[in-house]
Amino acid sequence: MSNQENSQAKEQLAFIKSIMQDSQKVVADNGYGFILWGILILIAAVCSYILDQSQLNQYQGWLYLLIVGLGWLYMVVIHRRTKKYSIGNPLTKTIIDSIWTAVLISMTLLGFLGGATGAIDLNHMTAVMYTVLGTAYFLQGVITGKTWVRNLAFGWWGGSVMLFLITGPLALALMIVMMVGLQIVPGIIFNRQWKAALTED
Amino acid sequence: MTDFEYQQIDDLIHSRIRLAVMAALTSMGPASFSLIKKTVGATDGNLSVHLRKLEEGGYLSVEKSFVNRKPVSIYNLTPTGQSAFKTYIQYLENMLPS
Repeated sequence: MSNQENSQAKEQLAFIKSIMQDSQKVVADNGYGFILWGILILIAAVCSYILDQSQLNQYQGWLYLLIVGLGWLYMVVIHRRTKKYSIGNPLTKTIIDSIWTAVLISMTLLGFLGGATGAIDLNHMTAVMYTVLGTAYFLQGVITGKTWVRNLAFGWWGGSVMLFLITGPLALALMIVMMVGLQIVPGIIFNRQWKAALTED
Repeated sequence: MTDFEYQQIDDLIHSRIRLAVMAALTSMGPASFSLIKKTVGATDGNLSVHLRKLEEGGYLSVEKSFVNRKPVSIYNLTPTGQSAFKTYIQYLENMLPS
């Protein structure tokens, strides 16, 4: 085998490796889950505030049960159906799906059991939730190599610090701003990127 | 390269763009035309020709549908394509000194 053939083989293998490495991080989610959960949480937050102001706090549990139930219904029924249109490395997709499933289960448990048992103060429930949410964004950003997604986590964590310190209407306003800016808007961006990656010009 | 060795190379894969397509699909799994184009860095026309060659060779399968009324072509490696790509890599590795 000549040196020229060796170097050609090496060069071909290096080319294959670089293409495969670049492709490994490619994942495009349709973003619907982000948008839907964001909207549901916004509705829950506003309704919860109204119930609180109307001294109807006994319905708070039912409200969140309905909202979280709708979110999970989406995850189980619709998200599974649209999965075939999700794009990217199967392992990367599985890891990201697993992260979000684990985070959603953790948040559901923290929200319902933490709240019902009194282990977590309801005034600071959102702060706890957003801290957990930040973790998922951070991991997704690192795994997919998207710095802007990873940086969203710092927004969630920074906001959580504030939410641990403040309560009342100001906390509600911050919570809404964060949900729109760090969840719904990124969901819309994911959706646009997904459409661009899927459809032909 | 001797004639014998040259004949061992899979001509269908042994082209820069087709090799890139095979590598990208091996890593990404099923992918759309747009995504392959972005990954491989080829023009529409050029990529179409290479994808058709791979499809005709039985290395790729394509599923066409519509999402939001826009055409979507999802390409995937067939078992023949996967096996051919593996053989191609093995051949290249065998060319390297052990």
